[in-house]
Amino acid sequence: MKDSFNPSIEPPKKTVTLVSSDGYDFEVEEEVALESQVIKDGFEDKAVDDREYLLFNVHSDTLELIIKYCEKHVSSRKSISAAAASSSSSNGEEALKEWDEHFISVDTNTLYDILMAADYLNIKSLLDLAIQKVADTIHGRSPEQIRKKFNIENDSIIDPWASE
Amino acid sequence: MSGHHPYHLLGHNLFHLLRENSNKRLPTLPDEVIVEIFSRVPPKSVVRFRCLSKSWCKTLSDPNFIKTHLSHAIAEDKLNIFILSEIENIRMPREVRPKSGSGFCSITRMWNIEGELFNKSVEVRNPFVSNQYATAGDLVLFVASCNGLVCLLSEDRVCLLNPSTRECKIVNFGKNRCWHYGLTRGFGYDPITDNYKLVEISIDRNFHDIFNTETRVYSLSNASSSTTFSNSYRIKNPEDAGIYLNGALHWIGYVKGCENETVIVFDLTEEVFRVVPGPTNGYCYCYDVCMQKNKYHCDVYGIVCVFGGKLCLVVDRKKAIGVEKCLYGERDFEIWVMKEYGVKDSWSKLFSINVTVMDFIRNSLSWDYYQPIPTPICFTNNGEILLKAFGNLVFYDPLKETIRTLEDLQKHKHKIHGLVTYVPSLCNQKLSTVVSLSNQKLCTCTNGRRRTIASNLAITGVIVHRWL
Repeated sequence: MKDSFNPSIEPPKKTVTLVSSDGYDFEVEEEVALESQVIKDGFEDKAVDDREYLLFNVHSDTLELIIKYCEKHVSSRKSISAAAASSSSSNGEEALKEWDEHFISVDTNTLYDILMAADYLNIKSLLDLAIQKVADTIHGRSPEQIRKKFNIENDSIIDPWASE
Repeated sequence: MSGHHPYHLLGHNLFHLLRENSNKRLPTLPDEVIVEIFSRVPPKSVVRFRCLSKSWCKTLSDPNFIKTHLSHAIAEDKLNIFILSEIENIRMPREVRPKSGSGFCSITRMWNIEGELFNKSVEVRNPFVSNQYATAGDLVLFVASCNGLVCLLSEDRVCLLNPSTRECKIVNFGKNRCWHYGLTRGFGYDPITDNYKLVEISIDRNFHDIFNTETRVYSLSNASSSTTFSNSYRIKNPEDAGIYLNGALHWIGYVKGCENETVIVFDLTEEVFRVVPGPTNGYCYCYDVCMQKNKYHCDVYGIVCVFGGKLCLVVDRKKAIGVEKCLYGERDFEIWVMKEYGVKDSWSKLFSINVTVMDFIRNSLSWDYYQPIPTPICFTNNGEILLKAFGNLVFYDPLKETIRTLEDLQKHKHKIHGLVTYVPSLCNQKLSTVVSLSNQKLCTCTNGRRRTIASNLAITGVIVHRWL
């Protein structure tokens, strides 16, 4: 609202500081941070100079990936809607899907970190992407492998398909 | 984005503590995340994961979990195909052959086709056949699917079969209730009462009034409950099964007092008929009216189906040429999709198939079939469209206008009587009578080890059956 009084001055890019669990600062644009539902909730109530979030559950390596994901999604959403407005054909959504697929093709540890961070920060699209990736990897596994993977205690049920 | 800056405000010790914590690898995922993961795994794996632990068995059998799993499966739009063969006569061995008769018995065989490219087919045992040799009453008259459940109808029984989990339930309607041939049927789910329903629409045998039809609705969770009422709608092709979408069944038909074809909708909750207007003016069944109005080209509504989760209509478009106006030139099959359910203006044409392509399909198949209208089933990964045409499955490339047939199916050399697609789901609608549907005889289950497993699992409520 304030900006409308001074149209000649370019408003400074609003940023938010995210702090990883190992103590690194990440300064990101406001709309990128707002991809997280947790940050979005109650964002307006926070004072402008106090927009700093301590993310105790997210390591800097993971946070870097999460920010990369959010930035990509914010920018491609803009370009898709721009293409739709000018009614020029674009395969933006297809390209984004491909990018997502490439993004999530990581080793299990990183995948789990992303999954946990997306759950903690409540970034729905990223959570869906990571969950689908884990689901793809567990299809066809034996219950014993799944127990190990998810730390599930076996209370003596016999796998009726074990012989196969 | 800014680079890394050490976070000085944290004390040194706290910094290291956090660093250590975050280095702990492969954390235990929260249960709700694991449930989410399991809800996106194919049913076959979920059934197997029910033996992870007692609490997981309970979670993975929960109706709400099954619903979430179904919604993910529907969103993914990955379909499997269930096929019924034409009646096949098989020779019976001497010891079981009745003294009179030909020594042959008739049977309906069925297959399940799955896989990314529909290249995996498995025969499913006919659930109506109680011993190895079928009786006349075991023939399947009707097949339809909804929410991953396949509904099969024999003379006096209805079978709800989930081909993904191999659970099934047979509802016996008793010998006095005989299913007639020549009735229009549909099978669907009523989300309000959480009930599967079978709908039958009779045709007036005397042909005094073609709109004098009677509709019967059977509730499948309670075999004795049925409602009957008469209505003034007529289904165009009585042999077409109603297409299920959004809690309603869809057919092409006519409304009394209106000359053009339209899409007839039967709402399974309110049990009333409605009409959804088509994209073009449907074919006018009355020749005189057609002549009066100078309508020389006609769009015949071929078939209604579900494509990509949306209501889809195949229009057989013929353009009239010449002064006589009764010679038809170009003929296309146009595939229309209703993008927003119930909104007439949202019909949009997806693609069309020229009749010459259809002729090519017909010629490349070894048999002729009465149904020339192509029914789109789904997109495949490589941009082709799987079509049902001439009683077979065909892959059509809309860009190159080329087709290829599904070889695996050809291998069987069986004529297809019925073909339905279904979503792989865990739905069971209290399928209490669980039978093994493998081709192996049921006696394999009496083996000692299996019995132990069965008694173990019975406690936890795991349904015991063998996969093929």
